[in-house]
Amino acid sequence: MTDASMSQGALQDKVTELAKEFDVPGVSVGVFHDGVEHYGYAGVTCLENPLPVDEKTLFQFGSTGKTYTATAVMRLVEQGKVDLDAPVRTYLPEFALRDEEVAKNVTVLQLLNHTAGWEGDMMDNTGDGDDALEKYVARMERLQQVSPLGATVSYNNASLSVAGLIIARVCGTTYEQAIRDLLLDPMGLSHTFFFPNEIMTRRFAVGHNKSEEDGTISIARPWAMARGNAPAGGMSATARDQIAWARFHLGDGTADDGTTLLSKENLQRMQEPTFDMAGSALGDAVGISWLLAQVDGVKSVGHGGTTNGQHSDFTMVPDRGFAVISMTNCGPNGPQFNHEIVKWALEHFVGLKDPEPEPIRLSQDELAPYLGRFETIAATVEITPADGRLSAVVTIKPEMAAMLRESGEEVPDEQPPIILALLKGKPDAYIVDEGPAKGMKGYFQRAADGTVDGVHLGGRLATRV
Amino acid sequence: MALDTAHWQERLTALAEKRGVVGASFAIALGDETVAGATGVLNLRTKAPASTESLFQIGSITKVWTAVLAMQLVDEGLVDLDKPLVTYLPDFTVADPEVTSTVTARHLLAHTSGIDGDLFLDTGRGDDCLEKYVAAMADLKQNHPLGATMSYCNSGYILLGRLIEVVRGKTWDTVLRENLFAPLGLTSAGTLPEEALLYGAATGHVEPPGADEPAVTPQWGIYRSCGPAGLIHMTATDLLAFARLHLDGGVTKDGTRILTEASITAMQQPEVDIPDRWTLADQWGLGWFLMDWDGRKVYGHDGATLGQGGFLRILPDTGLSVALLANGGHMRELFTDLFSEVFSELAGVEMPDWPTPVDDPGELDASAYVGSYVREGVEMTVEADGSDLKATVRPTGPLAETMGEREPTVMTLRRFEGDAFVAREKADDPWTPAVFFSLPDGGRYLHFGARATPRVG
Repeated sequence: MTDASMSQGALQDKVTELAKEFDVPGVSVGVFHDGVEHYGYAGVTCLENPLPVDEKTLFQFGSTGKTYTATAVMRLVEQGKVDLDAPVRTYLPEFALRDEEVAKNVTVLQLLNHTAGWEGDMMDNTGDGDDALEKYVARMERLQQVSPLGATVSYNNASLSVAGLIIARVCGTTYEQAIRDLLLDPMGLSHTFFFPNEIMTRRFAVGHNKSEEDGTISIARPWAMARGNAPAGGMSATARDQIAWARFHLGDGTADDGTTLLSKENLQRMQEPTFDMAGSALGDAVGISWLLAQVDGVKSVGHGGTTNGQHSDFTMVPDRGFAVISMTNCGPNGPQFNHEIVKWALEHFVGLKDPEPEPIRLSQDELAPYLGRFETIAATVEITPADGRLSAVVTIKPEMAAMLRESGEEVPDEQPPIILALLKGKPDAYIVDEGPAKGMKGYFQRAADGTVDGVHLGGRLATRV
Repeated sequence: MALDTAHWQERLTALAEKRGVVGASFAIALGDETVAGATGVLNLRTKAPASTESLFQIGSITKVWTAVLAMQLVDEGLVDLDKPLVTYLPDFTVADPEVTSTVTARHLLAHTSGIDGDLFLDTGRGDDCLEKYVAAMADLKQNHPLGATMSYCNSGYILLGRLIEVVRGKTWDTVLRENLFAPLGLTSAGTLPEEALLYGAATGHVEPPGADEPAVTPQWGIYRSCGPAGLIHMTATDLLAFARLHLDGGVTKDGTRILTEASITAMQQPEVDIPDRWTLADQWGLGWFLMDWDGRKVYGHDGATLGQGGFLRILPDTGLSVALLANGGHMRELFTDLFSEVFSELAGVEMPDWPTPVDDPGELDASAYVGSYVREGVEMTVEADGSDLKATVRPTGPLAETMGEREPTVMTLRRFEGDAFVAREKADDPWTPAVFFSLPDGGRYLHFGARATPRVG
C-alpha cells in the first residue's frame, strides 16, 4: 500500500470518527498534500430527505467566497482595470456612507482587508433581482463607523458587497456572471454555483441547527442569505472544487489547462499581511481577503465560512504545498468538527502542531479594566467577572433580531453567556474557555490612553459604550 | 367505495415503469377519502427516491391557482372581469392598440385574447420581474383577433399575475401564499427554488437529441417572470386540496370561504370552444379546461415545464379528483393509462380514445393547408407529402436559445377527420392532433399544441 492510499484511508477513518463524535449530519473533507488529493465524507445531505454525502455533494462554503471576490478584483488589477489603492468612488461615484470623508477616501484594498471600519453586518434583503447588489450598496449610506478608516481590522461583510459591485460595474455584468467569467469557467470549477436553480438539480447539503437545549437537529431555514450579500459568500461547491481553489492559490497563477489567470506575484501578494490583528479570532493578520496565522511557527493562509446551518473551514500552508478544507451541514457543532479535523490533518500530513493556549484566572482587580458594555451594529456585549474569568453576554439588538426573523431565521431572545479566559503571557488576549465556541480566540483593544475601549469578539470589534 | 391504496400504488409503479417515467407522485380523492402513492426517483443523478411528500413542479396547473386569485378580486369588487384591463393597469400595452384598450381579464382567463402567448423572457429574479415582463409585452402581436377563438396564452396569465400584484400591492407569490396556500393548509408548497430545495424536490428530465435515456435538466425551473403561468411546486395531495375547494363550492376543509360559489361556478362554465377538441379538452372556462367524458362533465388542467409534467382531473358528479405529477419519460402516456383505469374503476367513466388516422387516408387536396404558420416562439412550414402533409417546426426566441442548438422538428401530418389531422415525428411516436380551421374573417389557422397559429404565407 502506498503512503497516499494509507493517508486516504486514515483521513476517511478520522472523518467518520469525528462526524460521529460531534454528531454532525453530513461532512465533506478534502486534503491536498504532496501533489495528491485525499477526500473523506460522512453522513447525509439532509436529515429529512437523506442522501449519502459523496464527492459530488455541494455544500455552502460561505465566507471563503470572499477570497473569490478578492481574486476576481486581483484579475482586474492585473488587467489594469482596477487599482487597489484607488478610492472606491473611482468605480462607484455614487458610493455614500454616514461619514462622507470615509466614503470619499476608502480604497479598494480597504474593502478587502476588513479595515473600512464601518458597521459590517448590514443584513438588509434587497431582493433577488440583478439590481440586488446595487440596491444593497445604496442602503449603506446609513452605516456609521465603528472605528476610523484603516485603524483596525473589524470583520466586514458589507465591504465585500462594495467590492462585488465594483467587479460587476467594471465587467458590465452581474457579480455572479463576472465571477463565472473571471474565475469559475477559466479554472474549470464546474461544480461551484450561486443559484438554487442550479444547485438543486444536483446532490447538495442542507444546513441544520442543533438545539443546545435538547440536542435535536432540525433543518435551518431559509436556505441562504440575500443576493446583495453574495460577494461576501454566496456560493456552494463540492470538496473537489474547494481543493481546486486551494491548488490554484498554492500554485503559480495558472489554471489546470495552463492558462495564466494571475501572476504569481499577485497571487503571493494576496497572502502577505496588509494589516496586523494579532490574537484575533480570525488570525494574526489579513492579507488581501486571506486570513493569515501561524501554525507551529509556520504561516497558514485560510478562511472559512458560516451560512444558515452550514459551516466550513479552509486552511492552506503554502510553504508545505498543503491544504485542508472541511465542510459541514450543522451548527454549532460543525465548527468543532472543522477545528478538530483541521488540527488532525495538519499534524498527520505535515507534522504541524500548535501548542495549546494556556487560559488563566485573574483577580477581581486584574479583570476590572475589561468589564463593561460594548456594542456593534448588530449586538451589545455585556462583560462581567466570572470566577477569575469573564462572562460575555451577547444580545442581538431588537431591530436586527426583527430583520432576521422577518427573513425566516430563528433568533433566540437570550444567548447563553460566553466564558472568556485571558491567556498566559499574552496581555489582553483571551480564548473562549467553555461551550460551543470553545477555542475561539479574541483580544481586547486599548485606546491611546491605555484604557480598554473595545473587544474583538468573533472577529468583530465591539466598542465600549 | 373504499379506495385501495395498495392496488393504486401497484398500478402506478407498473405503468410508470412501462412508460419509462423517472419519478411520479399520484393521488386520488373520492368524497372524503384520499389515497396517494409515489414511484421512481426525484433525480437520476442522485437517485433520491420519490415519496408522496415530494415536491414536483405543477407547471401550467399554476394557471388555475392564478385564476382563483383573480376571481377573488372579482368577489371583492376590486376587478370587473369585463372591464378593459387598462382600467387597472393603465400602462399596459400590446402591439395592437385596439386590443390594448379593450382586452379584459375574462379574455385572459379563457385564452381568447389572441395575444401571442409564448414570450418566455428572463426579467430577473427580482420582485419586479412581472412588471418588467408586462412592459416587454408592448411588442406582442396577435395570433388571432381578440375574442375570435382560443389560443393558449402564457403571457396572458403573467399579465393576470401582474394585475393581482397591482391591485393587492403585494407580489403574486405573496398573495398566493396568503390567500391560497395558508387557508388550504399547504406548508411545503411554494414558487421559488430556494423554498423548494429545503424539501425533497423533483428535478425534471428531458431526453437530449439523439439520446434514448432522460437526463437531468441543467436548471431546476424556468424564469421567475413565468410564475403566474407555471411556477408552483407542491405535492400531488396538495393539488387535491385545491380540487376539493372547487368541489366544495369555494369553502376550505375547515369551513372557511375563500371564493364565492358564483365564482367557482363561473370558472367551470364554457367561455370558448377549442378548435382542436382532442388534445386537451372541448372548451375553456375561466382557468379550467372543460370536457365531456362519456357524457359526464369533467374539468381539469395540465402542466408541462422543464422536464416535469402534471395532470389534474375532476369529476364533480362523483366527487372524484385525480392528480399525477411526474419528472420525465413518457408522462402523457402514463397519464392516459392510469387515469383511464381510475375513472373507469371508480366512476364508470370511459376516457375518450386518442384520435388515430384511418388506414387509407385517400386523396388529399393539400392546397387548403400548405403555407407558413408563424407566431411568437415558433415557425411551422406545411408542405404536401403524397397523401400526407409535412410540417417543419422551428422554435424561435429566447427559450429556444436556452434549449440549445436544435434541428427543426419534421412531422408527418395524416388526416383522420375533415380538417383534423394527427401528427408525429418518428414512426413509433404517438400521434398528436393538428387541426386546421378558418375564422369568419377567412383567416386560416393551424391549431397545434393548444395554440392557434395563423397562416402568414
